[in-house]
Amino acid sequence: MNEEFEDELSAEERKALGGLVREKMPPPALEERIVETLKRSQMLSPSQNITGLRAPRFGLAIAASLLFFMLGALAGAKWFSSSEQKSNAQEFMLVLRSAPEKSPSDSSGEVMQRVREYGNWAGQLRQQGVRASGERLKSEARVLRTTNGRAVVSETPAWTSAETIAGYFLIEARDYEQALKIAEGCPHLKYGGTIEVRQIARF
Amino acid sequence: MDSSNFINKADRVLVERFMRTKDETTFRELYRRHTPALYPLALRLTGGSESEAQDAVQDTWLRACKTLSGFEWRSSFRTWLTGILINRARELNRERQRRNEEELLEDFSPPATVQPGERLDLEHAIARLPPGYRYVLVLHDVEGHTHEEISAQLEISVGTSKSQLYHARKALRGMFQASEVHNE
Repeated sequence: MNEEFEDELSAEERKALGGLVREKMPPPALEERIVETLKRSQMLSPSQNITGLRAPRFGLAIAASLLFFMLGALAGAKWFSSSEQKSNAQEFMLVLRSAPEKSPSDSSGEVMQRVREYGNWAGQLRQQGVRASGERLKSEARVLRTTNGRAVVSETPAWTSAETIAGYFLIEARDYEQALKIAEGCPHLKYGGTIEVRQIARF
Repeated sequence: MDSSNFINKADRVLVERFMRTKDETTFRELYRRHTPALYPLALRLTGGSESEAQDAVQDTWLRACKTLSGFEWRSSFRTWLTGILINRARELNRERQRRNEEELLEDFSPPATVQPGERLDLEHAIARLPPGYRYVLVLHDVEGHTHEEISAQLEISVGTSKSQLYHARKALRGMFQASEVHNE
């Protein structure tokens, strides 16, 4: 039965199929997204107090796996709503801008190398007790504009200058001075990018 | 103790600890042990769509956590997760097809034909296979599952699994032959 479908792979075909990638980690943000979803569904205990006595253990667990760019938007949202926030800390956004020709394309291998490097930097900050999270942004964009009272979507880039937003970090710092000092260490600068430091307005 | 027993035992310790404590660190450890193997499979089953592959991986872990208490260790933890992933990837594909039909859109899948001058690599060629062919070829020729296992996983007969594999390989070979002809 089914003999008409008997078919063997050639040695070359077998080798090609055997050579396909078997293990690949998805972007780090996915792990954070899943963890946050599990927490919201109460299938995961809330993480241990980052600022508390057990923070070093938690920090090391995060740092140990640091191929990460950042913790992700959901983690960031939780962070800012946390009642454990230090009373004297301010929140800042580091807006990373790059000229298109200085940004690796979304599909290039260089992207992952940079993501790791930026992630290592954020990891070092966290090890020093500085909260840091963020994301890389893909280069494609959708732009909404109102034309004759109607919202129109285009794929025109949102920027009008030579630089576009390549990503962002959210950090915690005492004041602007400290935030700028932290931003100075970001590897984005050495790739010719600029970093705009903006304080988050809290009311 | 062989390595697979050792791996299963380590998984069991982690899973039991997680069920007991719902601890984030333990979950992350499980996630990092198994996700690197799940993600490439998800990418192949979804035809190379990163967003769908990530959704499939996410839903796999959410379902796994929800139904963990019912897991009886008749298979390895990895095999159990893989089964959930395969189902979810197929559901996502069906949802996409239905959406495209409703919106009268073309499927975003690249065509199964090779354009003149196009150089083809194996991953892209697999992604271009129709879903039925792709599932069987990936599970059999890449993941090493038997037709009996595929029959149970995809709820198809063993005969259908064999015929899908036969046609999938034929389609792949056809794509590469066309690519060579175009590039001669």
